[in-house]
Amino acid sequence: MNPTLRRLSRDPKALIGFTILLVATLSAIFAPMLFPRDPWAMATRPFLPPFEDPEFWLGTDMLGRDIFAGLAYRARMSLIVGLASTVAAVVIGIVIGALAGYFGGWIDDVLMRVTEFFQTIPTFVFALLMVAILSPSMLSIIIAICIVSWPPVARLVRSEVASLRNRDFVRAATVLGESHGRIIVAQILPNTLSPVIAMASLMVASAILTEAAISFLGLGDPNRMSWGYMIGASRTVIRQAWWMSFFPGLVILLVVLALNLLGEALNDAFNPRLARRGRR
Amino acid sequence: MSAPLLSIEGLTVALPGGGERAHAVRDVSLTLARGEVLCIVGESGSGKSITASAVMNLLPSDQLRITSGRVRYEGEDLLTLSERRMRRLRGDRISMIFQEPMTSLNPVATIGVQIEQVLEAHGVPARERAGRVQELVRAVGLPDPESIVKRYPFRLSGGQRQRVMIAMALAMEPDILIADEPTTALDVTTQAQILGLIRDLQRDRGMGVLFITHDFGVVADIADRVAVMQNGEVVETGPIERVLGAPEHPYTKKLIGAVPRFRETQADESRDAPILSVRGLTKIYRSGGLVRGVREVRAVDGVSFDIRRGETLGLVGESGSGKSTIGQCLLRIASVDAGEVRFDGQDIAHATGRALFDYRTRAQMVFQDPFASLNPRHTIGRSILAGPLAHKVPRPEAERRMARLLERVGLDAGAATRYPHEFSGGQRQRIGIARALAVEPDLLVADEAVSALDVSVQAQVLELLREIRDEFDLAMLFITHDLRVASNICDRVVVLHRGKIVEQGPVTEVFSRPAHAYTQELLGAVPGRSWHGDPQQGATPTHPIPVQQGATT
Repeated sequence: MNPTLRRLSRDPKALIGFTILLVATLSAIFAPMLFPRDPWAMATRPFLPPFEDPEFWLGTDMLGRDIFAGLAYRARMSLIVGLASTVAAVVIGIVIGALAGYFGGWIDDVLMRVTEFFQTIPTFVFALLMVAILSPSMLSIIIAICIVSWPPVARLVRSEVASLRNRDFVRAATVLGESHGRIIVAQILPNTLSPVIAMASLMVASAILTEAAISFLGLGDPNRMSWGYMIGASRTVIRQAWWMSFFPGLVILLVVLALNLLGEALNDAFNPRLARRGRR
Repeated sequence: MSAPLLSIEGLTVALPGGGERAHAVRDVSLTLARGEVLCIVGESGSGKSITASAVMNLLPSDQLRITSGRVRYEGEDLLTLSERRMRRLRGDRISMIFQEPMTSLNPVATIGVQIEQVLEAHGVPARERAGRVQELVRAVGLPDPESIVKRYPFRLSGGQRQRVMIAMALAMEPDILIADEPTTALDVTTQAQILGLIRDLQRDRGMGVLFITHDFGVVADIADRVAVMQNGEVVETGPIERVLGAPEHPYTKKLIGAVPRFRETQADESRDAPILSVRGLTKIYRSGGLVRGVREVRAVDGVSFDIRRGETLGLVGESGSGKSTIGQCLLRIASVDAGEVRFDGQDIAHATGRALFDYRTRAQMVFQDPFASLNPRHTIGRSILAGPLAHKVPRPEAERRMARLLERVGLDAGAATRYPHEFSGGQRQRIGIARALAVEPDLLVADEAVSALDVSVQAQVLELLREIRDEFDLAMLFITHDLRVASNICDRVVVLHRGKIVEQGPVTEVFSRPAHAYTQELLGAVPGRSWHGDPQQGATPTHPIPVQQGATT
């Protein structure tokens, strides 16, 4: 087995993170089977507190909808937004970072100034503004989160590529007549992926948080509720029905924690020496 | 000799499980007398540095555990001392200097402060410290003591930093100095000065010095006694004259046989027309910009030379002489600012597009660091095939070439599916050579291609390069800082100093009758000259002890 995977499988942080994520993903996928009832439909009396009715363990909201079912269904929105926006941001970041780091000179200057332009705008306000302009929908939320989160990836990839491009094996490839494109894709990028993957798992976490915050403020996709939307909708009744915002909040906390644990474990697995703080 | 100052008895250090060896160091027993320099010599992985660190109780205990043995100093076993007692001894009675002068000083403190900290740590009263710092700085021969103590490490040269390290080590007038490859990272002329300094200070103060090195030349210059280590064990110890002159253990014989020596006979000169001719090559590095104004460094300044087929031209010089830059300019990894590089009649200094692409099949490079020159994520096969495939050689033909080359450089065909980390340094260097040859070049540039290798491996790779040059009728440019290696493999040499050629000619002539003062200085600084022959005096050893030849198997 690949040594990185082996180290990962032995790391308790990775196991905890992975288990939580697996549960969240499976419940998102199998929600219709677990809760055949329509999550939007009224199931029983409104404001049912948790742990009273065994059929509705986590209680119901002000319209009598099952919160447990809601959490399972809404995991989809949160996870899809988190993943899709991160994948898009990583792709943009890698392309811009690789070009800037590899070619240097004025290309680097131009691309990095653009990157800094995006970085200087407060991310959350920027994302909110974009969702407002694009009209709230899942796609616009994904786009907004992607646009505010690619710059750190670009900077990371740029610095990695810039240090790799003067390595002897890259020089050797140049001397052998390989094209710039091939050198970037085949020689350099595979060597930069480990920190990017570790960073990406943290980005999914922050994307979920950003989405939750956008939905909380009422700019979420009205047709696809998310965890953040549930909290936002319940905030007016928080004094009467704490459970309506507490459980979605707890789920967000767990998933974000899981992603952070996984990210840290990935980082350790890719840099075993740093993690153990040992000398060679 | 009186009772030993330091004695290591049956020291064994275990390696963490799963490695190829159970012990980093096994049953090592050595003694060091007052006023003596004991050299521990061995190749990488021989356990010489671990032995030194064990004496200082500096081993990372979670990875390297001392399983048995004693280190006696003044009747006490250092291995059982408490960390507090040990700390008091370190830097006071026993001190240590390291290989890398660039990283062993704190970059954000002036050197005066750093030397003073040693005195402070060992309880020297504040009013005495400044005077002591001045004394020490003077003793290690640093220029301008009053102002140099106020400087930060980055303003000092490598040799000066190593002098600062020595000043810090000597601050408390220790009984024992442990020097772990202290001159390996330095240029030869600087190395000669530092070795002289250590020898002088040791004599003045009657210290015992435990000197770790891989270089038999350095051993010949500094040691009183020698211990040879192999795979964690001491295989031979004895006075220097005996070990160098009449080694007993086969491994010692093999190591000594592998040390490159100055060659006496001149090779036949190639009579072909030059395949590469360089005229007035100039490379300027510019730094700074709008605010500070542009600073120019002429890394290569009007260099001209020719190389013929079947000939090896050496490019020798110290760091900063521009030798590597020339190699990079010839292969167009670095741009050329002025001058002409004619390859087979065509100027390639400014070639682009198709012409440059075609040139890539004709000139190739072997790099210095066998660990950095192969992509860690590509199999050996992929690395070797990349060149031919980029040049549209059909895959079956490329694979046939690869199989032939792997066999030629002494690796089995199964190597192609494995990754670089599965190979040793010497094997990787062979892979690097196979990769370069895969596009069937006419010119091979070897940039310090054997500098990172152990001597015995170095000798094999040099032999391989020589054979390949003859077999493929290559023109070879061999860039090196090591004059002994250059003398061994080159037919002609170019001596560079600060980007300019100071001398060039047939290797035996330049090395036996150097005309330029700088060449003379370089040759004078080669370690162990008295032992393995002085080319300026007809290549006969002036040392009274006959050099053991043979045993080069």
